[in-house]
This record gives sequence, structure tokens and C-alpha cells, in this order.
Amino acid sequence: MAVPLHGDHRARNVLRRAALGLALGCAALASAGCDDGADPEGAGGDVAADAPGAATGDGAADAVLERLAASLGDAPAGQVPAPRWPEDLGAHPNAPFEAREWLSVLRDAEGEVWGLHQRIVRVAPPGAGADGGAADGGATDGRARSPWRYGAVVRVDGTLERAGGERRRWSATEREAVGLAGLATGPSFSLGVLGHEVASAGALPDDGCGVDWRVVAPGAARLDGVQDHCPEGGAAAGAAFAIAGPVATSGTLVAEVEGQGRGAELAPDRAVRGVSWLRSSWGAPALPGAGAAVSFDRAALALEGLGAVELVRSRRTSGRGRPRTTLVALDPRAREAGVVAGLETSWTLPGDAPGTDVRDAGRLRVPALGVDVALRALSPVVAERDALESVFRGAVVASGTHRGAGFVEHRPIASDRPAADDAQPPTS
Amino acid sequence: MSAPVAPRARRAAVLAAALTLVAAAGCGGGGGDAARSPTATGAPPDPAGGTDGVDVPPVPALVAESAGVSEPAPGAVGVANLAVDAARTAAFPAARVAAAGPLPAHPQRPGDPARGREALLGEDYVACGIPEGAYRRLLGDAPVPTLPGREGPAADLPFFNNRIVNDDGVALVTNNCLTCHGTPLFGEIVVGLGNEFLDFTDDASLAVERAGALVSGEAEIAAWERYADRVAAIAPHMRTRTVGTNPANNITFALIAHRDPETNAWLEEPAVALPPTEAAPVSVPPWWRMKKKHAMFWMGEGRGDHARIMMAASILCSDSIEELEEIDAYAPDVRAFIDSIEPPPWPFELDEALAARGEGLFGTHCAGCHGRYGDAGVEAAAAGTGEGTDPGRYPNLLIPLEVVGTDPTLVEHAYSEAGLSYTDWFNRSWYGRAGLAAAGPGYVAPPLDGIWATAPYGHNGSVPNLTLWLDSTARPRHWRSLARSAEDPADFDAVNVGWRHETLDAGQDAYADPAERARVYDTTLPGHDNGGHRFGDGLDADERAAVVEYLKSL
Repeated sequence: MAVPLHGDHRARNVLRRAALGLALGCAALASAGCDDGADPEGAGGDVAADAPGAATGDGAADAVLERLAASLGDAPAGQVPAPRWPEDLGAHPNAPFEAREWLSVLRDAEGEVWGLHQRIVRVAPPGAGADGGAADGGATDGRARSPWRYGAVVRVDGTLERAGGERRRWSATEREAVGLAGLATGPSFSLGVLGHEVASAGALPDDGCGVDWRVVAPGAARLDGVQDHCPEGGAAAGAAFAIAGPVATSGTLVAEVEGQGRGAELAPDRAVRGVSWLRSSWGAPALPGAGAAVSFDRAALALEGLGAVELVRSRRTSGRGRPRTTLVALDPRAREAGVVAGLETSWTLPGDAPGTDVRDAGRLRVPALGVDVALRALSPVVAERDALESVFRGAVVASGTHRGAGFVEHRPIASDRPAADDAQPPTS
Repeated sequence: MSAPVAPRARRAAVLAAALTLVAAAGCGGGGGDAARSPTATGAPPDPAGGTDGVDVPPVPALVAESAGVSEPAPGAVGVANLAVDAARTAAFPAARVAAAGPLPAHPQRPGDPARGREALLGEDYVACGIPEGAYRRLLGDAPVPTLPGREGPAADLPFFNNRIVNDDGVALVTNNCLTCHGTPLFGEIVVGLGNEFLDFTDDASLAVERAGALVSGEAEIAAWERYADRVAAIAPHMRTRTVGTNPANNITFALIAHRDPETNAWLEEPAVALPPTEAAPVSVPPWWRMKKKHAMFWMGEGRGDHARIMMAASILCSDSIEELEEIDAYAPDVRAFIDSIEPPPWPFELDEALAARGEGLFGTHCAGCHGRYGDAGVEAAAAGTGEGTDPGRYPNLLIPLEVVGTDPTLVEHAYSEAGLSYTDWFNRSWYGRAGLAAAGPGYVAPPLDGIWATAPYGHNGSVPNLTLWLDSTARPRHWRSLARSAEDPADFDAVNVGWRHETLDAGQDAYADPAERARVYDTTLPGHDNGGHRFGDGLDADERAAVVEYLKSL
């Protein structure tokens, strides 16, 4: 019996999107969106200090952010079409949510290793353009001029850390309407708030994915990066998308923090080079939260001989079942060499074994690729409040069969040891 | 600067499989073998079949009608490499094997096709799945292939999904039989056409696990976790080596291993040995042939009450006999719907004269096993040639392995200790009270209605088109389909009848990229052999083309 097909048949695309998104995007979205606006709650050893000029603790703005984030949970699925190139390298002004997250592992001339994390999240109610018109999300064009959004809020948070434990943190929130934050698009891209910025250094390419990027973290860093190939990614879940890719990076760690505590000790105008990962996400987020059945850990690593890879580990919050780790090569050269995915990847984290050294960021084994490396945090891992849950996030170095560096983000679950219960760092 | 990164095709069917996999266990697909014995459990089953209020033929009659079914005693199967020793038989007293030859008919319970379609697309015979909210967020706004005319809350879901509500009031999206038995073909969803494009080469449980990121709330999490647990238990045993091949048999076996045959309760620890982790490939037969078939599956398993055997689709999540009996009440309707399905007509131009010549050749070389069709069949029936009683004169023959010569893996497994343990399980189970299946020492020569749409060919899908199926000397050792779906007519080779393919110089080992590797049909892999069925080798090219042209018309 044959019956007419109703509509386009895109089942595989849908399923492909969903699967890929789950592999790559959920963790990204979880970390990039729905901040509760609270300042990070560092603990012992943390040298958190807000950057000057950052409007931290803006209660009104944070409240707006919270409301917007909450409203997104009810947003109808499906306002963003499938990713397109090169448009999706640019901005997505019609998406109610957009984030850029930058993670760098850098080395200065003295051989000192630094980690930098900065993410900027823009949240706007769907369709809340200046004219108050209806959402045109289905026609998102990343290269189009952004409509001015009265209700949009942009938030930044970040960390600069040095091997050994010193750490500097910042956060700020501002409304786009005030003019101190916003999304610029057109031939180039930028997303920023109060001087913090992730932007393309020039016009986005019309016919490819090579992009020069710039990240500015006032009082912390100014970095330039070259992303010489397309990022990897796709749909995350529902109408949310995430793409990520490695970026060769150079720049300067700055110290314009006089009078701001130990900032000057951290980075007195040091030239640095290294590798970064730029993660972009946008859409109507279907955010996995602290109450979801599954929690994600992730890592972005650059390993010698393997290139840039991303690890995503999922665990049931009930503690049942076994963790599932996937490895995705972000570097097309690695994919061409057969490093496509490592479904048999094993990634153990401190939360898996009581008594683990707080600087032990886990062990990664990919038997099919001959990988067995230990990951070690640059500084004692400190928990942050991220939405409703604790997150241990920090730069790591890898040693073992492959040397390298990267970033690890670990979300403890209830069945982990007591560190999961609050924002306290794990202790050995 | 490199080209844009295309989404990964392999992951698509991982999710498809993961979210839906279990429909393959029943539904008339190439599923498991089973047989029944009146003394299976030491206590004779209910003489009436043990199905309260349901008109199921009595078990003794069932056995008596099924000529050639016997205990797997030494030498019983008549194939040298399939000898079953006595010790093995003793370990599985309810196991049965069958002789080659004609498969006897068995009366089927009547049913209402219209109600059957409703049940197929609406009932909870697969009783676990993904909470609806999470599933819909997963789908997002992308267009999905829906069935026109489908009503109710599942109307906008993909055709292979049902929507049910569990005892806790949680709405779930489950998979229905069309997951494997429905295919979008040239712009239409063809109900009953086995989907030869699904990808079971990856870990099916991964997508299900990660879908949990979208599930929250106590009842929803409990429902999702139940499904995720089941999928995780069987996923390692349902991976195939080649995209497009189906692990139906292994899925069935893995589920059987986790079920108590007496109570149908789910067992966290398998009670019998699990099947191999590398599934032997199976091609999914089309449903429209069911009306002619006395046995549902490739090796002649699935005899007796077909409705009961189809119910094996419920084996993933239905945990009690009571649940099974509820499903059994409408199962005959589903079977009646399946019997009502007709094959899609050949959509391209047909050379009538050539087809007419081919019909004659077919009658000479093929009809003895595959039956007669159209007017020829009617005339033969009217002439009382004794070729059988089915419309179209289909003889229902199980061809011995040494005659058909195709890959022996499935048969050998059916006669192995593991295979016998599964048939033993089935015979002792509630399914076996009315269903009768005994794997034979070979493969059934299927009816050929709508054969044009069912490529690739052979029970393991190892031969890309009909011309090659009729010329064993020309079959490629390694090949790759050039079609990623059945949607584009340009991907179809209308001359040789099959999806366009390319012959490769090397097998899977030559490909480092797992995605590329999985697209290579490597006939040197276990279960993938493309030898045998040499019955067309004697035809010359013109004769072969004529037979192929005739087959297009069936």
C-alpha cells in the first residue's frame, strides 16, 4: 500500500541533527545558556575578582535574564532552520538565544601555561525586535543586519587562570537596549558586552569557513585567532544548534587592573600563543538542566598527532547505567585520517573515584586510536554555579601517549561524592 | 580552507535504531526462529492454546498440521554441517527444527484490516519510549514524514512512531512496526516495504541515553530510564557491519535472553546466552507477501498463528502475560491489515514484449520455487495443476541449503546451541502457545510480488540488483550503494532493477573512516556472502534481461 508522502521527507536529517546535537551540543548549551545571574561562587584558593567596568551584580538585569531564560523554556520548538554555511558563522539575530564561548590554552615566552575561558550569551524574547513584530525565526539569516532588540540581555563571564592556581574571574550583564551590549552583524560578527567581545576580525567569508577571530576580555586578554576550516556541529536539540572548532591563537594577556587585587600578578602584558576552541550556539534552547535525567561532561583537547578533539560524556543523574563517552575530531585533517569518532572512548573523572586528587582532571582512553592520556588541571579545580548546578571547569594539560592541552568541564551528579552536593571543590 | 562539514549520516540511523529498534523483533520482519512443543515445559500447554477468549487453533492440531517439524535429533536436518547432537537436544527439549520442502498452511484468525491499521499506528504494543515532550524537542521544526490520513495526537509524528500514555500518565513516543517495515519510496511512504537504508552499525543506545538530557520530572525520567535500560541491554548485540542491513534476528534473541518464558517478566541478567555482538545481516521482507506465506521468516520459522508471532514486537517492554493478552486481542486485525497490503506498481516504463518473453522463461526456470503470477497463476490454478492453493500459485517451499547455496550463517546459528536455546525459549513462552516456528535447513523461496522495490536481494541483502541475482558469476565481491535513501528515482537502476551501486576494489578493512567503512558491502564478512542462487546462470544476457523485465511487472 502506498500513500502520498506528506511534506518533505527529512527523517534522516531530523534524526541526524538530533543525534549530532546530542553528541556535540547539549553540553554546550547547558553551559552557555540560562545562567542564573549569580556571581560565580569560587571557594578556597580562588582569586576571583571582577574586572573593572564590568557591571557585575546588576540585579535588575539579572532578573530580566532570569525571566527571559525561564520564558525560553516554553518557547515553541523549531524557530531556527538547519545550519547553513557560511551564514552560520555569523550572527543569528532572530534566534532568541545566541552564545559564543571561547576556550584557550596558551603558553607565554617563559613557558608558563595559561587558560582562558570567556563566554558571552545573548538572550532575547522571540520576536522582540524594535518594532515589536512577530518572530521571523524561520528565516534566520546570519548575514542580515540585526534588528535592535529592546528586551535583549547580554551576559559575559570568564576566567583567566595560570598554572599553579592563580585565577581571575569576571562577569557582567547588560541590556542590549542600553547600548553597552549587543550583537553586531552584517559582513562581520561581534557579540559583546561592556568591552568584552568575541568578534570576527574582518568580514566573514562568502564562500568558505576561514575566519579570523578576536576575543577581548578587558583586564585579562586580547587574543587573535585563525580558524582555517569549518567548525563541526549541527543541531543540538529541538531548535537549538551548536558548532565548535579549534582556532590557532596568539595575543596578549594584559594587566590593566591596577588597584584590583592580584590581577596584575596574573598577566603583566605577556605575549602568548596557543590553541583555542570557539563554540557557537543559538536557537530556542532545549536546555538540559540540573533536573534532567542525564548530565554531561565535556572536554576540548588538542593532542599531538591527533589534532583537536571534543569529548562528550553523558551520565544518568540517577547513577544507573554506565557513562557514555564520545570523541569527535574537530580538525578535518584528523577526520581524513580516520579519527572520526571514538565510541569506545573511556573518560574517567575525579568524581568517579573518591579520593582523587583535585587536580586530576581524568584519564582518557581511546583504544582504537592508541590514546591513553592523563589530564591534569592547571590549577585546583573550582566549582562554579552554573544555572542550578555545580560545574568544575578549567584548563588542563595532557600527558601520556599524546601530549596536549585543553579544557574540561565536569558536572557532578548526586551519586558522586559529597562535592556534588554544593559548590565546594572536591578534596582529596 | 576546507569544504563545509556535512552532517554525519551515520548518526541518523543510530537514533532511528535506538529510538525504535524493537519493532524489528516482530511485525513479520526477518525476525527470530522459534518452534513449539506440547511438552515444552513438562506440563502440556492449554489444549485450547491458552489464549482466553481468543480463537486460536489448538496446539495438537497445530503440530499435526506442521508436517516436517521435529525435535532436533541427530541427522534430522539432512545437511552434513548442521548435525545436532543428542546432548544439545536434551538441553533444550522444546527446540524444534524443520525439514526442507513444502511448508504447510495454517488457518489464521480473522481480523478487520481497518481496525488493524488503527492498532498498528495507535496501540501500545511497544510499551516504552521517549517522553513526548523530549521527543518533540528533539525533532524540532524539521519536516517529518507523516502518514496522510492519520488522526489523533500522533498525526504529526513520523510514520514510524506511535504515541501512547503509560500507567503514570506520561505520554511517550514509541516505535511502531513501520520503523523497519515502512519506507519513503519516490515521494510516498510505502507501508510494508522493508527499509533497506537503516543504519544499525553504531551503538544504538547512545542516542537514547543522551535524549535523557531533555527529560525531566520524576515520572518522565522513570519512563525514559525504563526504555533506556532495555535498549542498553540489547544494543551491544544489534550492531551490523553494513549500513542497510538489519539485525532483526539478533534483536529478537537478545530480548528473549532477558525474558522469563513463563511469565514474560524482564530479567536484568540474561537467562540464556546472549547472541553474538556482531549481528548476521537480514533483509526485511515486504509485508504484501505475507498473504501468500505459510511461514513468516527466511528459514521457515514463524508458522502457526501469524498474529501471535507478530506480537513479538511487544517483547521489548510488555512485561506480563496480561499485557500480551491485551495485545493479542487486536493482533489478528493487524495481521489482516498486513494481508490487505498490495505492492507498489513498477513506476518506470515497461517493455511489454520483452516482459512477455521473460514470463515464459520465468515459468521454466523460476516458477517451480517462486510460483506463478498474474494470469499465468490463475490459469494454472484453474487447470488444477496441483501447485498449491494460494492465489498466484505460490508453492511455499523451503529450499535446502545445499540446493540454494546462499550464505549459511543464519541456518547454522539456528541449529547451534544458542539458536536452539532461543527456539526452546519461544516454545515455552506465551508466544509459542499459538505460534509455531521451526527453522529449516535452508531458506524459503519467497513470493516475488513487488520484487522490484525490495532491492538489494538475497536474505542478507548481498546482491545489489536483479540482473546480478540471476547471474552469480558477475556479482561484486565488494560494493557500495550509491543511494542514501529510496526517495530519488534517479538513484534507481531501472534496467537492472536495484539501487545504483559501484563495485569496489577492496573490502571494509581498506577504509579507515568508520562511516565509509560501514557503507561497504563486503561479502567476505561472516553472514554477508553473496554466493548461491545460481539458477539464472544458465540464461544468456538477453534471456536474463527478459526475466528481469517480467519481474518488474510483478
